Amino acid sequence: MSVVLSLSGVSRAYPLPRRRLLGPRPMLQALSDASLTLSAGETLGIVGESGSGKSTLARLVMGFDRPDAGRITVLGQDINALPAPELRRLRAGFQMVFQDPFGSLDPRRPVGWSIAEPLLADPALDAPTRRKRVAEALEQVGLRPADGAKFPHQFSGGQRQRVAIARGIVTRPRLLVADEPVSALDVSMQGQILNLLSDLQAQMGLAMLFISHDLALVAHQCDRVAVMHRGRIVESGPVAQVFSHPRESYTRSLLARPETKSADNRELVNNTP
Amino acid sequence: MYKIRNLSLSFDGHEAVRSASFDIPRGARLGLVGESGCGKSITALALLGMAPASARVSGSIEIDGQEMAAAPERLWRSYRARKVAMVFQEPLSALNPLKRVGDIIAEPMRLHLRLDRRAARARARDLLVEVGIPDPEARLDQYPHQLSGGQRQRVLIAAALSCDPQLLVADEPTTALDAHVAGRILDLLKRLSETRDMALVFISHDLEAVARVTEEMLVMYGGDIVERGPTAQLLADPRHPYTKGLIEARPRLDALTLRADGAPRPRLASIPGSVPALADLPKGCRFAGRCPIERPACAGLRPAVSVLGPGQRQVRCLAPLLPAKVPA
Ligand SMILES: Nc1ncnc2c1ncn2[C@@H]1O[C@H](COP(=O)(O)OP(=O)(O)OP(=O)(O)O)[C@@H](O)[C@H]1O
Ligand SMILES: Nc1ncnc2c1ncn2[C@@H]1O[C@H](COP(=O)(O)OP(=O)(O)OP(=O)(O)O)[C@@H](O)[C@H]1O
Ligand SMILES: [Mg+2]
Ligand SMILES: [Mg+2]
Repeated sequence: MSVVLSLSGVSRAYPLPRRRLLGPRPMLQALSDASLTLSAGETLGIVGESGSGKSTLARLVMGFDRPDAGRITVLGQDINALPAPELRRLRAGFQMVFQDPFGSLDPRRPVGWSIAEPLLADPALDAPTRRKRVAEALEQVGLRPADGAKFPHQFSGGQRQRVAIARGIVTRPRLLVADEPVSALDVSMQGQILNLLSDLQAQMGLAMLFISHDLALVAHQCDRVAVMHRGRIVESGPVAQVFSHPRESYTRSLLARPETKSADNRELVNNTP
Repeated sequence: MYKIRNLSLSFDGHEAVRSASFDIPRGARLGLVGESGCGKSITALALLGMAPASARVSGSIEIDGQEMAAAPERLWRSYRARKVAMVFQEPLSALNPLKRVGDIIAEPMRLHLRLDRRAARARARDLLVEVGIPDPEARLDQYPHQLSGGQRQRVLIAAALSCDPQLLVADEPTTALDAHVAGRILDLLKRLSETRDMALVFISHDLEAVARVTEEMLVMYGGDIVERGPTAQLLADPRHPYTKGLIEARPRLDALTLRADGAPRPRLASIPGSVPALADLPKGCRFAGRCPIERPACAGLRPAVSVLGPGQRQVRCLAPLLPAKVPA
């Protein structure tokens, strides 16, 4: 199987605010020495607590941010060595669904425009073809072609998240980086979207980086999983193996079901007339 | 505290919320659930006088005896933050990108609680600790874009809690959080409601979370409140076919379902069909067209609300389901 994405030794640190005026600037190591590979048709889950570096990794893979060290190869190209015009051309082949859908949509343009935008990188697609592809993508995520004329604020939160997914799949990319792609959706719609992503993988060999804090979804959707803790990938492997026999204590703590106060629920259920 | 009667919101003549009536007593915890696009967020926004400008709003919203539905923005503004606060569904768009986290949380306290700069900052820091953000001192001086998704969501929660609201409306407040942190936030909200008599309207697609936090729940579909009642009863014994579908689509989270390496992915369950566009919703029961037990009359006739049992439970269905057998 062909490798679609590989990272080797990738690091990124961000400066934190100074504690004292003129004091040294503390740094936050958001990602340290991350290495991974992803092949066509494969889904790699990225899990880890809030702030562990998952979105940082996603932004680096997309070339929206540059690593301090290490090498990122997407579709055979070192994206940080590529001149801007070539990166733009390559861009149609790897797309991202952002954690915050509002952020990826232009508030002053109808969403149909935002969905079509990644298609502009391909000069072979004329306007009618682009329109057709946008309509198709909207239907795939359970919206209507006519919804393309609406503005982002005219949608509900979950509808906006689906618009962002439509934008992510419209180019039929070979790599999709999906950052919490279904977190705003009800379970019924989550099921529909994940089924859709599975279909795209089967049909087009889509490779996917699937970031989620919902471990049940990761267990369902992913082939392999990488566990992140404080910017490091502490453990990775086939999802069934990592989740059933975690090597690291951190992974075990993630997997431990948080205690729920089901006791009072049971009491209430018993009061049912 | 809140009395909502026949609240309707429409866009271009299409009703997105259809004559909703409910009360929010002081200290009550109310869950609001339903599929994407069924009207939860705009109902919540209306409670704070923040319905979209393009929406036509009718009906009555009474807060502590005062009619607020047609109140001027000036009056609403003095209510917000001081009396009612909201955790918005999309944190990034709700946080001012030009302000530091510390100011976002502290400014309402300086304005409404008249705290001085140092006191407000100290309390902002405490709030960040309370919502579980590590290294709070450094975070106070950062901008929203420098935080992770889950950190931003918790900053929004901290800001909403800063002025000790009497009502907190939390719209999907834990979507960016893992189960452990989410659980901690849910317990915090519940505790504040119990110890400070804060009322809570909790919107979530996570039925487990709703069960954990709320005492009563409303189920919305296509702008109608189709069922309501005590949360645990309603989850154990749904009477509206839509509620039942919603509960059955819930993935079984008790055990992670692990596939053998290379085994095909099973299809995930969902309620057949999808929520129609506002303009295409049936005039009668909104669920007509998707309902597994639909009768010929359903699409044309809006069912009246029937009261079940001793009056706590209500359902808007022509032929509600029979009680489930609940172990005694
Ligand atoms: N531009 C930035 N400037 C400073 N710090 C940043 C910046 N971007 C991210 N960070 C920090 O890097 C760390 C990792 O952030 P990241 O967004 O990758 O986390 P995450 O794993 O996606 O978390 P979540 O699950 O909450 O979304 C966080 O502590 C965050 O505050
Ligand atoms: N400003 C607006 N203009 C036109 N239609 C709108 C506007 N805001 C919301 N709507 C429509 O009103 C309906 C209800 O939206 P609302 O945001 O309340 O849904 P929701 O129940 O919160 O869904 P979600 O779970 O996806 O957030 C949706 O069909 C939406 O498209
Ligand atoms: Mg993130
Ligand atoms: Mg909403």
